[in-house]
Amino acid sequence: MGKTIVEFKNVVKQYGQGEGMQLANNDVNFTIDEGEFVVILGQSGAGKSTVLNMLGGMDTPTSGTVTVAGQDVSSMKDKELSDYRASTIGFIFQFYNLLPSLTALENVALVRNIVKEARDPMEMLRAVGLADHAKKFPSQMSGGEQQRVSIARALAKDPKIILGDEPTGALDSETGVIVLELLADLCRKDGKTVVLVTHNADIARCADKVIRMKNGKVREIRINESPVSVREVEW
Amino acid sequence: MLGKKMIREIRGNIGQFLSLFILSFLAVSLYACMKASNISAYNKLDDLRSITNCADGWIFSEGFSSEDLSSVRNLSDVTSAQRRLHITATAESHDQAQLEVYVLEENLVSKPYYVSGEKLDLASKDSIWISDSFAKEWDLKIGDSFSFSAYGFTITKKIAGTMVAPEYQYLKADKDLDIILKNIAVIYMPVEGLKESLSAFGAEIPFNELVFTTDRQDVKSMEEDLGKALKGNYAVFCDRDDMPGIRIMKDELTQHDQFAITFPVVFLAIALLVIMTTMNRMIANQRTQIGTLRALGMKRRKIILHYLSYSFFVSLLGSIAGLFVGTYLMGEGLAVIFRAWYLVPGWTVEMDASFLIVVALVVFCCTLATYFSCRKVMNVHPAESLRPSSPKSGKRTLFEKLPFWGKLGFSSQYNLRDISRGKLRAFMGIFGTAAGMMIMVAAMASITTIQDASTWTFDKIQNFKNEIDFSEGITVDQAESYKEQYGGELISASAIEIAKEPQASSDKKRSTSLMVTEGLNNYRLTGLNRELVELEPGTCAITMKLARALDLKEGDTFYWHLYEKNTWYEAKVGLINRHPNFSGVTMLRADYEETGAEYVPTMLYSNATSVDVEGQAGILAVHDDKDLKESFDIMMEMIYAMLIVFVVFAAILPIVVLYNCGNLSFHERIKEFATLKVLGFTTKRIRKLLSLQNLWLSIVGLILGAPFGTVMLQYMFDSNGDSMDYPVSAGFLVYLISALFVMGVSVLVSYMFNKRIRKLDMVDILKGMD
Repeated sequence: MGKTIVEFKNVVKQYGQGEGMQLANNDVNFTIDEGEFVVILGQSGAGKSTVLNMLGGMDTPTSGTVTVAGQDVSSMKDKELSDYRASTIGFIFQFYNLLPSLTALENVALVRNIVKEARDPMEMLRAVGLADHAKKFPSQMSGGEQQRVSIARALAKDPKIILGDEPTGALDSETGVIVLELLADLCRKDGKTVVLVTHNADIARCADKVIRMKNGKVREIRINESPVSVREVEW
Repeated sequence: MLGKKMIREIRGNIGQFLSLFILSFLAVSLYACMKASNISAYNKLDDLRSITNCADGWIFSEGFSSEDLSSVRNLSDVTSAQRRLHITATAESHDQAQLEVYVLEENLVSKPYYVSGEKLDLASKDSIWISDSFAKEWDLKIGDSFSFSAYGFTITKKIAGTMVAPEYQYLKADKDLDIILKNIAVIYMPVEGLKESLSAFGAEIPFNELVFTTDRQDVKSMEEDLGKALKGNYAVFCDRDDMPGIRIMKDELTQHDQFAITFPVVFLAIALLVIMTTMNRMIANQRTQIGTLRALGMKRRKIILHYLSYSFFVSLLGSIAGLFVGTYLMGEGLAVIFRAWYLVPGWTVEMDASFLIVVALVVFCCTLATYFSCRKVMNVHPAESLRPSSPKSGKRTLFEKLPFWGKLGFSSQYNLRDISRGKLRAFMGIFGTAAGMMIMVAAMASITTIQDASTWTFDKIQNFKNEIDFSEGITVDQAESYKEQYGGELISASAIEIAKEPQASSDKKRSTSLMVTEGLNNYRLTGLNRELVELEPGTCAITMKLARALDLKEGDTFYWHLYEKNTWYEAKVGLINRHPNFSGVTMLRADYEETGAEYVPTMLYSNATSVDVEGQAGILAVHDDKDLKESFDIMMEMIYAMLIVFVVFAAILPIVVLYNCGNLSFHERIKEFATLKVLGFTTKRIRKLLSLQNLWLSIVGLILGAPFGTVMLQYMFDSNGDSMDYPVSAGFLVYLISALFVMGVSVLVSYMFNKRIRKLDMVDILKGMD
């Protein structure tokens, strides 16, 4: 594995104050190496999405530091966070979040408005196997296809890290496997760092590293010496 | 429970519901403002006319006999009649105020409306009853002596009472260019008083007016019967519409009635667009909630009523606030202005049933618009509405067929597609900005139009420095000697009746003015394009609007007679001319004298720099060009006051609609914006994306609204009647300033979203909840 790209150090995330205060993350510590396929595992309310949001620059910790590729994300201002999201992170959502008024190709080409050196959108669509769907609008595609467009969009920015929040959560198992395989390939073949959040323990079997969370704390960090191939996973 | 839900959700969408409140408030308040003072005016005028038995018909001649009066009284449709002598006199002091003196032998028709003092006593030889407005201006008290000159004699009487003359809601001295109530009064004097003062009259008083009341609606249709009764011995027969003292106020009230409909309709139309777009979004967003309520067993009717209650209550509150503010604040303000111009006792503000109808109509329209919005969702099966709605269908839009579509950037393509998806919202934005631009252009153009009319009048038509007004009774020789002394051109102005056909019936005749000039270029004529033109000897010029009303063209023949004389003359139209403030016929002195009618000069237009004629015989007043320009300055002051109101409305409309458009667009695309933000779009970039659409809609609105600004203003000027001819003039600067103002509002609105975009909670929004 490569050098450390992500470091969570004593991260606390608190929502509200007084009696209504909720501790979403409580003293979270972990690291992720470059090119690792990491799964953050936990039940609903475990605090895993909060970790992903902070990692993605969509939220900031109450205390502690989040360092990504040498940058202290936890102390960034709005404008810096925008730049960080644009250049470092590729996000894949559970509900795809494609812009309904743009075609598949246009949704991917959108990143050209964000990063100067964006990769060719058509090539990205081809990479996810959707070259012949380029002119379709999201409403004309299945969930799996939409998620693959979402992956193509994330890839087009050529990000250092790809984050996925339950990327297979809204998909049937067959489509889910296709999507997961795509993500695993990004890691294994292209050397991207992929971080997925899921409550599905089976998916964790494919990961290089599994960070298990419960009640806002990291309960276990397990290195998978021999991750299984996505095709072997059943859920 | 649903009530609580409604209140909380209204609070959560305060921007849109505030817009709805403001728009329904404006629609009702504008109606109430225009109508409240009108209704009171109509009611108080009815009271005044009923109390005073105000005349319905006026017949003028050189003298009516008691037999004439009996004949008229015997007509079956005549309910009461009396004759009287009308003299225009001059006050001895009090700035030589103009006095319309009515000498009465009876007090049956157009009786005084008493304000203070005694009731009219026909037997009194030393009393007069004088206009209350004049008495107040000069602080005249009951019992004060008052002197005036008539027929070259000084008459001094005691003021026995102050009153309002029912035939004079509009009272302006001939020498004045505006209403100045200290310069004119109406006086009622018993005939015994005149006999006492002027023994020359003896028993024979030349009663030159016969006034009567009738139950017949169409008073003018009585002319044939009256003509027979008087054996043709009369000059002019008029109804209330011919009497300037009554007609001018009636025209003003009619104008307000028109505005009371036009302006609220614009605001109501925009309110409906706001409601439809707001409720469409709210109900679409609450699809799952509606599904839940239906799944819980709530009746469809109850759910619909719940959503109808949103716009029902908000528009009801706005309308009720508009009703009271419009009536008692704005309407009273208008009444205060108009009370200073028109004399109607007790004039204030009143409501009538139409106010409730307007409130009901506004609330009904708003609620109906909501019904149409929620009907669609109600038709969805509960199980289906419990699931999140399927993604909005993307499809090719018309814009994509544009040859340069592919070259457009992301922002442009994205916004064009969004416009295709939200057509109603886009229409609202365009319509609102167009209305704002229309009002702004009208406001700005009103300034340039008045300035233009001033230039037209003073640089083209009036080629003199002083206007010397002669008093009644001046001889031609006296006038000629003044002309010799000061130079210039004598003018004779008189009232005439005009018709296209000889022996025309009353409905085909028009009361207008005759201007007799000497053709010496001090008073010049301007043609249809306001270019200087000359009148050909032997022909007359007729003003454009009058020519249109009588269907007269150049070369046509028409007929006219002086108001107080019964002799008709034939004349030829040699020229159709235009004048901003004069409507009538212009003819050369030589042609006038050729008809044999008596030439009575009324003014001298002179270029002399110094005219010192104060106190000289036959001189009533002198106005220099500064005085004359003052009337335009007064008009400008009124326009500036109006401008402030217009600018407020011109700002409110785009703010309300563009804010709404932005708000709806923002909420409809909030998930997309959150996605873009996660992808790395900055706040500034997203704001630009959002404001780009408003900017386009504003520009289209500006272009569409601009031409209607001048149309609206022309309509407003034209609604003042045929006596005004103000062609609207709007230069490039008018459009530029108006456009900058509206665009400024549009930019301001886009900044309103800055904070909301910055605070956009990506995490919450992307959870995919409703």
